[in-house]
Amino acid sequence: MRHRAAIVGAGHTRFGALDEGPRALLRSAADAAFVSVDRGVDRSRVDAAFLATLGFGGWQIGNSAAVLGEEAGVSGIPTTRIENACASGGFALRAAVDAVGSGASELALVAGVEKMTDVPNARRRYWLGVSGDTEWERLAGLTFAGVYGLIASRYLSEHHVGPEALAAVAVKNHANGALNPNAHFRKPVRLDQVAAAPRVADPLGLYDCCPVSDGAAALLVVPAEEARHYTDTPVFVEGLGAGSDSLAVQERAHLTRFSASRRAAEQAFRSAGCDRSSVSFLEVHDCFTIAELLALEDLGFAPDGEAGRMTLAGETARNGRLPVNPDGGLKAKGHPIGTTGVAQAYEAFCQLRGTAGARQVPGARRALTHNVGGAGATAAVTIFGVG
Amino acid sequence: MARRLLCAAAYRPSGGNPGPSFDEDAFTIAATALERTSPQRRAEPSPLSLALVGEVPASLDWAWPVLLGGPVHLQRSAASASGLSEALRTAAGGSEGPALVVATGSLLAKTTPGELPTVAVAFRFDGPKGPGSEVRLEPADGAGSLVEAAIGLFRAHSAGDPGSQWVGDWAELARTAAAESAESPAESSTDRVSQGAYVPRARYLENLPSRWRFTAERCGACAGVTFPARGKCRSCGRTEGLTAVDLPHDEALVVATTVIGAGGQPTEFDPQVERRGPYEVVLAELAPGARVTLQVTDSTPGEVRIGDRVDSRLRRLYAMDGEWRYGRKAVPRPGSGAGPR
Repeated sequence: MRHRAAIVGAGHTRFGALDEGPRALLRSAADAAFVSVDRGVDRSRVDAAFLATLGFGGWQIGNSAAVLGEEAGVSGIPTTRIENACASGGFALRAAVDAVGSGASELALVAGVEKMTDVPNARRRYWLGVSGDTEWERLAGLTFAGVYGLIASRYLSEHHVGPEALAAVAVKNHANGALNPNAHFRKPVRLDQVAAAPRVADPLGLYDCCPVSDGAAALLVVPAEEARHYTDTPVFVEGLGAGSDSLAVQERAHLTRFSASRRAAEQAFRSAGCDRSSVSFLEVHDCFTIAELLALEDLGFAPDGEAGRMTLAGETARNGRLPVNPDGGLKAKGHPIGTTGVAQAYEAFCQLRGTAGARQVPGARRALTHNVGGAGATAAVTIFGVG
Repeated sequence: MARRLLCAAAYRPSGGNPGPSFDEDAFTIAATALERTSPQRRAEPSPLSLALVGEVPASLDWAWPVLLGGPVHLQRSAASASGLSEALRTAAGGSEGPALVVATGSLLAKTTPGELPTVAVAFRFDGPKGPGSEVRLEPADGAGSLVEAAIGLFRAHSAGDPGSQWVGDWAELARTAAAESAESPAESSTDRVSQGAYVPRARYLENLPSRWRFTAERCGACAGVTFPARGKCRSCGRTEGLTAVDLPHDEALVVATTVIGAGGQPTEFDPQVERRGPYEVVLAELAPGARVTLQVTDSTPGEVRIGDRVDSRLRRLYAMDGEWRYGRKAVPRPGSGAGPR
């Protein structure tokens, strides 16, 4: 599957509590993606569009992909909404890669959008809870914070790790977010602040949770062999992997590993034909601090139970041995649900082309993105390289 | 032929410290007393007689067969000592299948209509009656309340039949009676409804055996246990040769725990958090391969830890479509988890 598709343009709005609605956000992200194509591109050549969104804006769920066509100026072409909760973006990119890789599409637009901060708190929390098991888990009193709280309690107990391992993830990702002009949070935090924050779902406190953010991102995907018509520096999709698991966490054998992530990673590395040691940095799905520790282990970059120690030792810092979430991650950059997977690919695009500015990982040649739906019910892993 | 009194049990809510907890009502209080008399599910569902004495809403008559795992012949008796006496006589005198009698009421005084019961006493009969176990079923003179009468009846009877068993604590009932409070649960309204999380009534009803009795399915081919039961083996995918088994609802092993603080709760639980503060939720193992997510009640949040064992009780879970939905919640086991660690 090596080099079936390439990304030749990418756009990203600011993340945070924004004034713009989903239409304006989609327009900004798509415009930015078109403008970023070095040799330019005629929008009329886009022949397929995929929209990743969970709630859109909390009001236009059905048929929202048509709005992407309108706002991107490509109305008329087939548009499809892809929904796998927080992993919608990763799966939308996968759909676009399949489309150009199979010859069905010559130029595909992928966009993600979420607008969550303009609805009342209760409705926002509704949207944050729709993607877990409703009957057994939500109605026992759990949101995703609660489900990840259960997972975190088990992880700390099983691996004899202290809560500072969780806090270290927040501190690192906030430090990275401070360098990212698009990030929702641009302030560093200290370990003691994280530890002292109110408990949301013990052992997870407020600083262990990603924020609720608005934002959009967009990518232009072309067949690999066409890529250099658009730019001298395309970013190739070298490997794709995806997996799924039971919706309810209570039905899984393991609480502290996501088999969907493990399967997705194995598949991605197999299709890319590369080793983990060749990966320059990771973008992982840190919706809660515990999720980054699980990700490092599920993706095969840390032995089980060792991710906390690795993080505390600074190995995953931006200047560490294996930078993780140089853009701030979901934790600091923000988590507009459907957008996140697309935004991770945007970061890979910038880093691998050396345009990431203050947060640039020096000499980045290969990137891995990891996008999880809910508490591991779905997962998509993508490996990017510059050939 | 006549039935023998096998077992009697009292349940006196204390989660409200004293009094019923916020998630208890007449139905759950009666159900808890009944469950104490019949820990095992009947192997072959046969018609079972159930007499309700006291205040249990008729709107929940449909729920008893689900809770008891088979067909139920339901009778109601007046909420009085003579009503109880009549129900017990009928249960003792019958001959077909087991019979249950549950009386709910206040321990000290007569219950007025609509008032929440503060104690329930359940009796389990099964035949045939042994020799020399003549049951005296007239309530003692001067019984102040229905439940006092029930306890008096059991005392009088069990003196003559060493084979019948009391599950519960006489001493505790007597000792705490004086402290009884008229406090009622705060949450009695079903008005504040969910912001979106919705379980249609038909799906709620469909899953009640797993909810209320922890019904799982054991696969005849691979022996895998699937919980909740869905008519399909999770291990091998077979849909035939599955046997329903009710997993034990007590002594579940806690494998993970979290305390949900303000803002971490789904909107359905906003009223609860506003009134009562944080709550604990655990993931508990009922049997190898069968885990369930349970809110913890009658406890201090954080009291239950990984590795503890918890019991479970039928409680109100959430309100939807104008009715309370019921399911099991975890309660700490007496004597476990109380000490410092």
